[in-house]
Amino acid sequence: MGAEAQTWAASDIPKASEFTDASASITQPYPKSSTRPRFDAPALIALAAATVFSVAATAHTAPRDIRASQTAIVHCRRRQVSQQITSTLHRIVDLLAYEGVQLGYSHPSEEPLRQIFEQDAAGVASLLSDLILAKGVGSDLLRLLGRLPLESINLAEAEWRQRVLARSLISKDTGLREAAIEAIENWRDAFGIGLLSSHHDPKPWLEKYARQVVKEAAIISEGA
Amino acid sequence: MLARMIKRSRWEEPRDKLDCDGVPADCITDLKTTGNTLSLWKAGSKEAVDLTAAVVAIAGTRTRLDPLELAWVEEDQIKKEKLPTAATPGRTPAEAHRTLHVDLVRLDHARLAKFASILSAALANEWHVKLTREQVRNYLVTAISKGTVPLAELPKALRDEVSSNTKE
Repeated sequence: MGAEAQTWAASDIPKASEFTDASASITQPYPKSSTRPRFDAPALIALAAATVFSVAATAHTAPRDIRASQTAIVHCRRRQVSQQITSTLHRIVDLLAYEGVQLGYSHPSEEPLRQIFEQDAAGVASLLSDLILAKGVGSDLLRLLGRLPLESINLAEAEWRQRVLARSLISKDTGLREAAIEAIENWRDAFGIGLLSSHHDPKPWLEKYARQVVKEAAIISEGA
Repeated sequence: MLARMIKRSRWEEPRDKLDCDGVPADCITDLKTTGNTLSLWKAGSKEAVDLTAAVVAIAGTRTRLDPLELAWVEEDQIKKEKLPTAATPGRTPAEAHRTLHVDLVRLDHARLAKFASILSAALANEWHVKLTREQVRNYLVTAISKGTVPLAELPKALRDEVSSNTKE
């Protein structure tokens, strides 16, 4: 594990700007063709040990998509966020990599995310921006975020949520755009609906869904 | 027609192009089998697709009111590919819909791939919809209003989300 830790030299950690829509330049200890299982015993042990920055352990065992998310967490070391929050986020990412968010069912990460948001909304928000836009579990993280009540999220800087939605909607990742529309559907706030009104999705099925969300919001606001 | 819940974003063209012509493996992972079977719901005809049984069955057994994605395929295509099917009682809060359930049975990787090809072709025709939460709620409210689904049959958390709009 110690040797693995050295894999993540400071120069290997991409800058935040490189995370915009899935940087392909992230250093990969594993080849792209790796067929390792998504989760295995060493990773579980590493998690159980709850090492605050156990990135090396998970980087060793996790497939490509989660590594991008984990790298984004490593990047967070530079920010002033408590170890407990970073550690919780780390676990949330691992959990999402193991079990994605399923529509129609609660996810075990919902409550921990709400709790850390209420502890330090600004800190969590600063970390989530990179995580959501990084290749990996970003769309599931945004889907989770979309399940939190607006009053919890609005504890962070108001523009933060708006930036995340705006950047997600212009992403090349269909899943991320879809998660952004779902979040807007849940929140149904003026900013989100306004943003969605001017969004034209390149995927016909997603465009249809977005138009329906906007239409329903208009009907509801007329009725109110 | 036969309908099934899918996750359309999994069926998108992969960013890293494959050097082969088949259905990408990521798409096939969206077809989760149980006991080598795959669940489908009867969905009317090509001219008049009716997703009611599928929506009520899937949304009515969930614990949250959320959007729902469905795709539908031609039953004839399944017969043409000689995929074995069995009429089995479906898990749904609507008693009257139970007979509208069909399982693809005795699936191996080759049969699953055939079904994936059929589904992929259906998606190319846009035989798919992503229903909003409100649309899903409307399906459930209508089924309850018509007496097809007793409100008490819905999971508790879902009942609370639906019942505010419902007159049984």
